[in-house]
Amino acid sequence: MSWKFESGIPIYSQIMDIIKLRILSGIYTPGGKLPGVRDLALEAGVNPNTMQRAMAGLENEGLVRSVRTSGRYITDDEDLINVLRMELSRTKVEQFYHDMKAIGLTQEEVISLVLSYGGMKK
Amino acid sequence: MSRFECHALTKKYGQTTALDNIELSLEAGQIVGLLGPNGSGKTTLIKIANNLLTVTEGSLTIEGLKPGKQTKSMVAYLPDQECLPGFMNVNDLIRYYKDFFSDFNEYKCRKMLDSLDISHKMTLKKMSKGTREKVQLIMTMSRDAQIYLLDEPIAGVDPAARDYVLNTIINNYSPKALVIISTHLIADVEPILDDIVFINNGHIVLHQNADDLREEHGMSVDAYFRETFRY
Amino acid sequence: MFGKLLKYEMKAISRTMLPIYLLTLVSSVFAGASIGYSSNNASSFLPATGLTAYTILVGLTFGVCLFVNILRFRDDLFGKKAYSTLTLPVSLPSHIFAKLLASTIWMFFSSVIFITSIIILTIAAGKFNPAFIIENPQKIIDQFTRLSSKDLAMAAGIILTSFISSMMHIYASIAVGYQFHQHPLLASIIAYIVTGVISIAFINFSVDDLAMFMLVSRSIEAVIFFGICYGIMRFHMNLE
Repeated sequence: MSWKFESGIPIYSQIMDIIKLRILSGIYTPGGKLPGVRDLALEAGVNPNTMQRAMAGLENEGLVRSVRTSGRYITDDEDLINVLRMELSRTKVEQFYHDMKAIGLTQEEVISLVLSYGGMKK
Repeated sequence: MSRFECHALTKKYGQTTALDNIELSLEAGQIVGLLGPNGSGKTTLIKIANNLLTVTEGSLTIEGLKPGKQTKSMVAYLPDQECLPGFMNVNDLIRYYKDFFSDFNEYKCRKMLDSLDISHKMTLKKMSKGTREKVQLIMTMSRDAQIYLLDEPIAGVDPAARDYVLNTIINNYSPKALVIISTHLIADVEPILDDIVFINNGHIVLHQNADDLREEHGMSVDAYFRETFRY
Repeated sequence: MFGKLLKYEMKAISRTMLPIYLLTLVSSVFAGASIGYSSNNASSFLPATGLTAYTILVGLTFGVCLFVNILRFRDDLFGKKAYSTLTLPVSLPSHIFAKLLASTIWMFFSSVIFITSIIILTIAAGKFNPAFIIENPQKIIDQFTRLSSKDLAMAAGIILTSFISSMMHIYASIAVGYQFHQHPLLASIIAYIVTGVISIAFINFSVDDLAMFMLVSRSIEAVIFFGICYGIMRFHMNLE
């Protein structure tokens, strides 16, 4: 089953987002080895060149490094990963807040909703 | 030199012009989508590439050669219709391909057949249409060819089989080969394409990288296509 | 590559022809036996059916052979299968020659089966007298040496070139006819007639020796028809 992609956004950047999420959620462990481009492309259901482009992008951001003849590895720089975590969370919160405002909630209502939800989820 | 080149390629049937002054240059290591509505000229282009149709003006070259006996040994063609002899069974077919194509990879072929549980002894006649189409695809993709020309590989194929076809194409990817997929089913095929070539009314309207197109226009190739051709 | 092409031609046609050959030989046994049997008894029903069946099968041996070869030429090069055959890495002349050679070989096999079946029929009818051959070897050899080898060769040559010319005539007509996608069969028949008339009109030179004339004219015809066939396929190929 291939990964789900949205239209309108380049696939390579969506791949990058998916892999970032996998790093954060622990599917790919820091310092761990990534599957090869071809296998990842097959898993994602995309062109290997597109996957390659995504890898290059991740390397650029320092999240992934390639070791010659060995393959690609996730960075073990915990600080960098935390920065990524914060960035992603901020984006999500921004989006969430924006959506809640569109529904018509005030800031207080949003906060109490979140807290109660957090409580329920124990 | 590019693998696949068209210069001022024109094909006329009497008064009708199927291809009008086509300029195209494609290189190895890519999966290219030749996209366009039915009757746009894509099939004409592919037939010319396979020497099944003669050129009116201009040229189409594969590795610098005009379509002929030599290019046929470099090109693996999957036509959009069934054309394999029904009385042959899979083993016969493999022998047939081995006999004529030196780049046929029997090991790859049998592996793919096994992954689909297709018996090597079954005759094509006895198979369901879907299975026959898969066999035809497998035979084509089992060749270690320099150019693959796939004409509507997923049209008329059930959704599960579509995934199989697309995965086979990805899996078969080699930086030494050029894969050209001609189809009007853009949405399904988009994710696996490097470059897009839009063809309409015998003209090449666009030739761009798929992701760049998405970025530039903020929509999927399929959506952009529908908008461009209102189709 | 040509050898492989020929191999597949022969294999494909064998699926139809071998059963017919078998049936013909079997029916010749039955026909012969029924004739032998009825010469001692009054009934003529058995030999009538036996002979009828045998005659039909002999007709099929030749007719089906011709039909199947022509059909294969058409389907492989101008039908759906052409998308597969014409993308094989072989030259156009190879395709045409392979089919021509296969047709000729199968026609030859059919002739051999026919002659064999007659011998079998004669033996089965009890009319065959091997003693005759053993007692009179010289007479038989004389019969054969009376026909000079030159005559035999000429006869064989004429039969061969006539057959080849006829086949190429049919092939060329199909090649021309199938360019007309709407009515290919009709167009082929018309092409056959037209090319036939033209070839007769043009090949008209005077030679004293009739046999030589036939040999040469048939050869020229064969070449012309091949040219038409090849020319159409090379320069006007338009698969549906």
